[in-house]
Amino acid sequence: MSDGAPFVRRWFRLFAVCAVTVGAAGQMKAPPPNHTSPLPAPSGRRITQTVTSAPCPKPSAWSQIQIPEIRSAADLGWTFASGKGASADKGGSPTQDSLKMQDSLNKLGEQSKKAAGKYPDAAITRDLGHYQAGLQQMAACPGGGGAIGLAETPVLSIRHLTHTVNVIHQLHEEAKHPTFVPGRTNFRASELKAASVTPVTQSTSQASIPSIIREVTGSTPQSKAGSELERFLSAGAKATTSNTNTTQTTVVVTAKPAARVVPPATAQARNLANTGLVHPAAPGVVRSIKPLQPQNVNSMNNWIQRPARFDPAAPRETVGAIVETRGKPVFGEVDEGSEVSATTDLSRLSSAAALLESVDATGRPVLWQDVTRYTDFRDIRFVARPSCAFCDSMLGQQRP
Amino acid sequence: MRRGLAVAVCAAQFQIAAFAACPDSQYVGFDSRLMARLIARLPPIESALVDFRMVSGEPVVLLRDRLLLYSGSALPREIPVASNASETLGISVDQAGTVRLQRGGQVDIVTAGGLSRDPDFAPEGKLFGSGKPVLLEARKSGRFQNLIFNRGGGDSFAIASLEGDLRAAFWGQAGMAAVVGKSLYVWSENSDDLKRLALDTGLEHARGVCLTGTGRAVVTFLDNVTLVTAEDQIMIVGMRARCDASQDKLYLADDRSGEIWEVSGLEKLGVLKEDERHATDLLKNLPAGSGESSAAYLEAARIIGCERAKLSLASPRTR
Repeated sequence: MSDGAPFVRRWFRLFAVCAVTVGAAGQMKAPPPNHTSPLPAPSGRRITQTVTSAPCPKPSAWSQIQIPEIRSAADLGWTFASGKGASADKGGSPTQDSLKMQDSLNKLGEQSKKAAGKYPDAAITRDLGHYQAGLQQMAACPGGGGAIGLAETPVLSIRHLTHTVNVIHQLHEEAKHPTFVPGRTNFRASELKAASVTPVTQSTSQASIPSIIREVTGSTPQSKAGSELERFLSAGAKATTSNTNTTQTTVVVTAKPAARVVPPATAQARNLANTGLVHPAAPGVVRSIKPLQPQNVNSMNNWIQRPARFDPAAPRETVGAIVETRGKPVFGEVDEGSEVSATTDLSRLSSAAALLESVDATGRPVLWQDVTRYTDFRDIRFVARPSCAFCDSMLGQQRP
Repeated sequence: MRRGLAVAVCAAQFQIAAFAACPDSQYVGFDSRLMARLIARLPPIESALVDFRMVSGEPVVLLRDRLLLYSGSALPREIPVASNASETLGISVDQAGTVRLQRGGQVDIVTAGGLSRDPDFAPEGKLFGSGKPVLLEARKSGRFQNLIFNRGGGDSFAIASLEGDLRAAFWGQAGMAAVVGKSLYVWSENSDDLKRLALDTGLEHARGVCLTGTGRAVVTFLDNVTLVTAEDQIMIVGMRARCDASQDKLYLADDRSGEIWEVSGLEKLGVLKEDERHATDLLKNLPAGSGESSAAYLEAARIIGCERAKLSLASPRTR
């Protein structure tokens, strides 16, 4: 079993990546793609040296937002995007920033939970449009004004605002502002597959989105795949029928959950303790128990298949007599015996597979209410709490 | 300026990636040879799932205080159920699709109007049934469990008396399965022998059992669902579930998420050599650059163990 060193190395490598990302964000530059630094970075001091202020004003589109919870989300995002909520400006650490923002997100989540079902779909969709428009206004500023970060951050979840807004609308927003989230590709592929007119018969786990789109729309060029996906998702907020311009294939998206093919490989759980998971092969405890009288098996089979008791053709007395004369069950008394000792394979397998927490495709904890509130399939994964206090603090809190 | 946001995003990356390698983590998704479909989802509820059966392809779910019946709609019909915490509670379905609710010694038939008392059944033990002409009743007698086929109206046929406490039982199209004590017993109709398929201390924690074919039992534990055959025991998914089976399909009701899945392809699992070959194939076909955090690797490790998976990964012949 692991001695923990690889885990620590991964932890520090990730920490270094994030520290670089944070620093780059402070300099208004995009982080280098696939950058992996093997060394931990002196995160707090470095960030303090690279602070800049927001060069663009608060987006005017956000002033048109009517729903208080969405407006609060925009205000909160603006607070952090403009640097007003960053404690590192005052000598704080990124962790403090994160916790502060987490706290704010939790409060926002509580607010939006209380607003569940309070607003009509149209109002939510309209205000989310204003929210997105505000992000675009910010993105037009020099350096993006933090719009990318806001778009990537789950500042607002519609799941707490309504029971009825389709998750595909949220997908649409994600398509506009794509971020890398493990499992999301398969999730989208599943959505597209499930929404196609042809019933699903094969797993979509290995299929790429462009290939799926070709399957749905006929022969969409790969270069147009992104826009086709976006258009497709745009059509999915409610049950709609649309004809694509390129192939005239009718695509129907229904709000009712349909039978879905699951990406077969998106779940993980922590292997608890050193259970030493091995393949429990050939148990060697299989035992064949013969009937006390072979003919009783036939009698029992015939009895099971007999017509129902209220059928006048059924000679119940005869059946009852047979049972009475048996005296003992067909296979008699079976004790566990001492000829072989019980194995522990299933016991070890069970303890190795203990689940601690389920999360959605974005890594956020999933509550029962959240899952059932969605009207469509969502890529649910199972993960364990990581064994570190920082991760625990992030996972243990409910988010909007 | 975007530091707070970037930190939050990075934190999300931490929680996804920080536990992604074997043996730090274990794959608990469906075995990739299976086809799993989400067929229904329970409404938000507080109480835990007590029992679960499929009737004509539609789920029937028993909670401690409610019975939920699906029939072509995403929203189930609800029937309030008053019961004591101490009494036996369960549902059984006969061949005609009649759903019976057992509360202690009382049995009610579920009708369009609600619940209607069935005077033919006065069980002393617990009733089981998934689409068979008669029901299976498990009665405790001393240190034995008497398994009896019960047609109602006093018409019954005893099949076996098994030593130990009853953990779970199933009586459906593929036959009978029972977990009693530390043993898993199966019997297929017309078969002339009752088989003990496994004797394992882990079975003391079984929550449910289903028979998906001759000599092929699926046992649900607290956090996983495992297929047990005469030669192999393989976890098919890490899920806290209740199960039912019909034809070659397995149905799982996820206690945690309320999702109900239909799983097919189980016949591909449970043969030792085939299972190990599948694990080897997964490792052979790992995409370039993917390592211990990939789902395929973790799935293979679940089958053959982490150590063997690591060795295979390191072996140039395998790669």
